[in-house]
Amino acid sequence: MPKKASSLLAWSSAQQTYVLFLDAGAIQCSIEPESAVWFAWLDQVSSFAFSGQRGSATLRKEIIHGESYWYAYRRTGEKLTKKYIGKTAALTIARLEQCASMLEAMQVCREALQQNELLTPPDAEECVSQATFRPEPDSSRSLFYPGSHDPLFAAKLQVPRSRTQFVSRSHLLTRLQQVWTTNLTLISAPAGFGKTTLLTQWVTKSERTVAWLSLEPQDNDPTRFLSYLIAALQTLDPHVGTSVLKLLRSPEPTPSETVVALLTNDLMHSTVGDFALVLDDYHHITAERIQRAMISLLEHLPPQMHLVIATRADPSLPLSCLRTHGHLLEMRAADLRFSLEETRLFLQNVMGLALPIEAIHLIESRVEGWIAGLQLAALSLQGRADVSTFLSNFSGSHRFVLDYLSEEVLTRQPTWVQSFLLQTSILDRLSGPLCDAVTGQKGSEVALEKLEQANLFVVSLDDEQRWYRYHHLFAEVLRRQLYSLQPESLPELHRRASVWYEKHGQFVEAVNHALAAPDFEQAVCLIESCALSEILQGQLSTLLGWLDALPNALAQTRPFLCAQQAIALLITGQVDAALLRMQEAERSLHLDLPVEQIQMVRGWMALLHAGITYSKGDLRQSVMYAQEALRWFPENEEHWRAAVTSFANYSYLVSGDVRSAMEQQIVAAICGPGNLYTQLRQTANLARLQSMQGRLHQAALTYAQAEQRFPEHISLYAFAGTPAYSFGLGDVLREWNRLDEAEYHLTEGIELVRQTWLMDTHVILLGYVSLARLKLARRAFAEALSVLEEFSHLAQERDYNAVFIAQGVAIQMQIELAQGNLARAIRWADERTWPLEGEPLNYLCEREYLVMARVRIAQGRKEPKCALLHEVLGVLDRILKDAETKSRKSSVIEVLLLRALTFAVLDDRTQALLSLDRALQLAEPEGYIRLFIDEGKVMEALLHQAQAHGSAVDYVGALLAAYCTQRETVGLPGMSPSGGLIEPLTEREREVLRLLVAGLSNAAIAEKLVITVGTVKRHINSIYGKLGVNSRPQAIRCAHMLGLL
Amino acid sequence: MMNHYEIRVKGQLDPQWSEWFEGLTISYDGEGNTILHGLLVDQAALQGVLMKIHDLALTLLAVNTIISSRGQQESPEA
Repeated sequence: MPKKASSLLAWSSAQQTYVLFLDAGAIQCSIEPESAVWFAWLDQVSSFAFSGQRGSATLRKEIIHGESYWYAYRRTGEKLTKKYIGKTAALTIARLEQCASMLEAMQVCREALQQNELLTPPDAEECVSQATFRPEPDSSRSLFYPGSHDPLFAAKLQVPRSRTQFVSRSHLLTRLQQVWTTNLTLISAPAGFGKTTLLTQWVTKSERTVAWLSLEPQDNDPTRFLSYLIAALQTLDPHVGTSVLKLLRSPEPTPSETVVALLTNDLMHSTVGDFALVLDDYHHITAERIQRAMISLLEHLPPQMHLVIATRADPSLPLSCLRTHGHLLEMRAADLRFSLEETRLFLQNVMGLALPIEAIHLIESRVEGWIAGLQLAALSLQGRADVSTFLSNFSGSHRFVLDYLSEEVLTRQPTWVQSFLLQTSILDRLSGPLCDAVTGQKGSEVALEKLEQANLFVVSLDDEQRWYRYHHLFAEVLRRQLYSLQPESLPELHRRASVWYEKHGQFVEAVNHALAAPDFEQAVCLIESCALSEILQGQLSTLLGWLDALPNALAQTRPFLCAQQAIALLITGQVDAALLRMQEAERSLHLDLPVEQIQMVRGWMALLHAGITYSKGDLRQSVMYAQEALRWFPENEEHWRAAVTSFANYSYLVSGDVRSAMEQQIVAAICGPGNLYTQLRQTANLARLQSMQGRLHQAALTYAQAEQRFPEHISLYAFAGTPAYSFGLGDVLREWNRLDEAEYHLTEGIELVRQTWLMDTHVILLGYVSLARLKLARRAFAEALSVLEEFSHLAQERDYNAVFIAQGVAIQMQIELAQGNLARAIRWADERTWPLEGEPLNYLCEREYLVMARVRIAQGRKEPKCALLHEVLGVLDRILKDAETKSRKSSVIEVLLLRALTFAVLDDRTQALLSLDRALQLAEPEGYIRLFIDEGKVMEALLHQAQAHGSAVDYVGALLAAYCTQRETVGLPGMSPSGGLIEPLTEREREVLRLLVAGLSNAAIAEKLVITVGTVKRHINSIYGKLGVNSRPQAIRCAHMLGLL
Repeated sequence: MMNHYEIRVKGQLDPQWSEWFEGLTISYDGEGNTILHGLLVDQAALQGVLMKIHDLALTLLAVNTIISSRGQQESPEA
């Protein structure tokens, strides 16, 4: 939080310059910004206030890496917004003004929405805001971690306890100082080279902050890995990654790049100084999505962060590239091997063995600096009388060091220890009670403590000494021995471990041991009971991995399992595989299954189809399937009912029915069970419905409330599921003619669509259509068309439903009309048909019908007697009736405007004004603008007439003012957006225009055309009128742009 | 299709490791090295064996694919 700054840099409009006030305004100073004195001053201060021409902010310096970085802050009510500026050298006036104006804009937007909030009567929205946005107590934080069931959750984030005595490796520790000047430090060597011990030493001695994460095989799941990674970072700053964790918890996989972008953003804004993150045992990580995330992290590594990876094998990261750029510090096996001197010190100090130098030479030549081997050798030597015999045998043998020595060590243990070690070797982690269960003996806790004290390769994992593990190498040897000595005992040992873990609620481990036994029945029961429920929380790779490990034949006889797998496949985007699995589930459904299972499988089947059809934009089918699924899922299956309801709730987009019953249904879904993702989706849904109801202010407010759900502004934009937010809000802003803000949101949403694979086709359609209409409003036709082209490309690539594609084409025709390509638009309209009499209207075609109406109206202007117009009126009236019945006020207004335009063409002024008046009454309270002015000059003329009649005077005044602004900014007057010039130039006028452009004077034109100067003037006035200009240069520019010559 | 592989590692491994390494036969080359040889289902299985070798911190010397019964070698050093 920024402290109150004592200096102020302010723009003085009186002096027309920036003035610096020091010491709380006591001194007024004449430092010129961007001068050498200015930068010297910046070096001295840590903060100051800025009050510029376009906004104000507090500037604050943070020192990272010895470098200064500046941030701009601004407070709105409770909310603090922060913006990164750059290093001191970047602190120019231009940059300051830019940041201040950005912060200003954000505040204005927020305040506007807050005002709207005051105007809205409290009703159902109260419930929405309370239910959706209830605060998440901090104590529930652990719920967000997939590993929260893991008793070792905290231990994984602790730096492992180092042995009290070790050989200090000062030359390596000195090299490790370079961690702080490099991006990635890679410690890559096989097991037993002392990687972890070295890092532990380094951390203990390091004066700077280090976060630690010990990885295990089950962490090779993107969600789990990223959750732990964030948890490790949160040990430094608890605010880092809070919103990312919420994302990870949702079942839909978040793109790794998004996760990393959010994380790095959090880190950039965090006050934590230089730090290193150690990822130990990274070789367990092979999943492609994790690797992508790590590559992305390295590419965008915040300046204060340094990554340290310890691994047995080189990770799939762009190492050679990092190496070339000097961003990589490497330590490999050759660097880590003990030297002769270190070997001596180790034997003497750590193992308490004072050996003659020849003996040390012998051991050294055999183990070659391999620390684990050395430790085994020392263990074999401890308490041994015949040291020289042992050494000569050892050095004379070619046997693999590990084999030789572990046998030496093992055979010297009492029988019970040997058997304890063997039996418990199947466990990745050891605890007293777990070992009791696996060995069937009591007293394991004491045994483990003794083993640790005896240095027998037992590593304590937590401070309380409740959990241990064997050193990896030793575990391998033990397992191999168990494997060859007592293979028959393996299944039983694994089964016991599985049962123990199940009893203690650790399903992941329980399933893993059941699969290892292998006890597939037990595994299947466990998976079926826990699979898609709260246990996994997005760990779909883990689930799919289990299912792959099951024999296919078994899985096929278990419809419940097949259906679960199908759902997991669907969520991870493997649609074809999901369908295949679901078919298997359907085939194997038989009646002697429990009723609940049959219901669930049937429900999942319908859900799957609802999802697939939804992602193709076939909303009609999707809603039907969702309703079917709701009939199948039992009442107590809240989670699944919520998931399906989110599909069923799109029915208003199919029917166009946005009456309050539908609204209540969505509100109920927001208040009901379901994760954050579902709630946000439903909130966006509610806002969309409200904007269809013509309640633009309420819609904007609902979007704003969704935004407040996130602590950091940016999080929402990066939230993969909610371009719905950007598009929805952008579309409302577009309607309010706040085009710059609208464009900001719309393009942001489009960026998201480009980056991610999004299921919500209707959201994508809304975004592209709205952006195209925005470009159309700016009369940037080529851009508008390219927006639609991108949509059409996307739609084909993703195999969208024809109805959706047709909507995009309809908007394209609207643009053609605006460009004056009437013939093309007519050809399109001729190929389409109006809805048949007596048949219900299809709401999904409404956009098409309304554009067809515009085409016919434009056509009618050319041939006023055109019979088509009466047909248009008929259809408009039908749509009007439908929209009125279903509370779709937005459609009502648009249809009324088109009716007015139709009557205008038919010269029925009374009817035209009646329609327009109704539209104005409805539109005024919600501030519709674009709907009117996008209809062009005829609408402007009608509005003038309405003004004369005294209808909605203020509002009409505002609309006409918007026309003027439009004319000034876009600079292309006179054009009707639907069909070139409203009144085309006559042949004579065209001739006059051509000569005018050629630079001839009025007299010269008169002479050339053999007419009087007076007639020329009349022609020119008429041309000006038609072009909507009032000077010669304007006319010339307009003629060029419209291609009238 | 099964492939016949021959993997050479430094040091003499105990024969009991055979089971651990997917049943590959363990023999010695007389120069203090171990040869693991036998059939493996595919490259993924070979990868698994190589990982286990790496996990034991064994030094890998060579991996060969034996394509015919006469022991003709296809791929040279690993």
